[in-house]
Amino acid sequence: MAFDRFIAFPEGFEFTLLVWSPNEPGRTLPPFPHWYWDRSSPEIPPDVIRLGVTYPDGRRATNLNWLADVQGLNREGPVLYPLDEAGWQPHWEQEYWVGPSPPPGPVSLVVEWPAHHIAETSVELDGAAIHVAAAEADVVWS
Amino acid sequence: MGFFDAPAPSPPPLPPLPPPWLFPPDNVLGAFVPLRTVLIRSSSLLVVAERFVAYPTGFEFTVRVQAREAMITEPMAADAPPPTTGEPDGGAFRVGVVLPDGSRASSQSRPALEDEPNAPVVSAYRGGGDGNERHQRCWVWPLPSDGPVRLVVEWPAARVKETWGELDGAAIHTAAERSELLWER
Amino acid sequence: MGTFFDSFPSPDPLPPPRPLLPWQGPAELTFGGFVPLRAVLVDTESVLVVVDRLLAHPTGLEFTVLVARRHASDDLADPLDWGQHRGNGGLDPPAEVLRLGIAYVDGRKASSLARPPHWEEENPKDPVLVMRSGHGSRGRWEKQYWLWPLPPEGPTGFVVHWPAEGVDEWRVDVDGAAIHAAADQALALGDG
Repeated sequence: MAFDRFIAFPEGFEFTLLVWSPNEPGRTLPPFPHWYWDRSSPEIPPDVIRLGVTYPDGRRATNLNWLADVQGLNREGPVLYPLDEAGWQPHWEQEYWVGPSPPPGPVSLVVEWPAHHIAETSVELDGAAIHVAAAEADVVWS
Repeated sequence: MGFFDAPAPSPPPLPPLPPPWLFPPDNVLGAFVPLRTVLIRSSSLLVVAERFVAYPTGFEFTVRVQAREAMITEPMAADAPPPTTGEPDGGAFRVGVVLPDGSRASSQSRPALEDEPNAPVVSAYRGGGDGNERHQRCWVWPLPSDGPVRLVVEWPAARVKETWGELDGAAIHTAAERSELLWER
Repeated sequence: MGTFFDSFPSPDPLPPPRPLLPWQGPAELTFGGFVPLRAVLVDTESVLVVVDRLLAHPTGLEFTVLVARRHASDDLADPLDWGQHRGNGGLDPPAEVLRLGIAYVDGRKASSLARPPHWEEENPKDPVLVMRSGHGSRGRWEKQYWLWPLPPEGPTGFVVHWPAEGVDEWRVDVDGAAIHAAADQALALGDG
């Protein structure tokens, strides 16, 4: 699993979660929670990837809360909003929008994938790099 | 033994690697290339090529069309002409490239599924967007040699006339060396 | 307009789509004979599962499965679609999946849990049950199935098992002779 293709905007940033999973050839749906509509079951299937983001001030977002994010119910933010997806066995790509822009400091991305015994794993992003890149964003129209 | 207690079926095999001229390989971590080529930038319309990812076998990128006010109502049509007639859809989005060696490709051509083409291929293979924005992910095969790549787009239905831009082919070519083979297939 | 795109020749038209193989669905422009039967597979306080609208063809049997929760439900996951419950199409169907099967009188069987044959397989070894269309949400679903081949005359069993609803394996037999009589009434307007 890899985080890649970060693009910064004044209001937040996008990135792509890349997943290669060659050992589940029977998979028919991407391993991301917003593909699962089973609201009758409170249990989250073990074969979806849990993804989270932590801001330097402690605020957090998770893709398990995607419905509230998509419906705009999560007004406090940050949100982790699924954008385009692509892929088929054994490779999947999911773009996410994270906003609003994080305050200065390190930003953590966290993943966990119980079905593949991947315990909670986090990586730290250089928050300054996101801000530097966002400063280069070009406002086409205002 | 119950009716449904048949022995568990063995998992199906992984699908074969897609033909390299149609899609990026699914066993390679491609290299993101921070390039952006603005094709049209007016007071009402923005057309850019961005989000380049380089692979040993080619590169992919997104063509994004953003209208300032008018809603784009047409879908950014498929790469191939309607299957029944073979005639190109006059209003469809098309993308083309001219590689450094002068060879050319257009998304309106339909590449063979089984035999490796003897000319480059560009396909607009997946799209999306809503409201004032549409985008298409495009794949170019093969990886161009080190030199300028010319890009051309046209989308009559959205009043995007044939418009040319240039890509830094050297940056794409160099980035491909950073891509990683994950496993053999 | 420019000239780049006009300089490419139009590609040849695609060949016409291949007709369905017999196990994939009824032949084009054929209309199955109506089988005046209805089988109630599940009738509990909470849920109803009915097999209805049986149409018999010489090559197989079309039927509709209706699933209805008796109480208002916001359940969006289709109980007949394994993939909606677990994306990995894993080897163990979860309890929420409604298992549907057909028991032929000669001992052969078809099951909604079985993986369909390869698309180009012309003569599968075992009977095949495929979902061809359907719709539904919020506790109500209607799904159209195709069963290949036509079951032989004699009692034909519709089998159901739905662990999440507490429905143990249950079988309802229908009259194979009625199915065959209806198949004789099928109408073919196509070439075949």
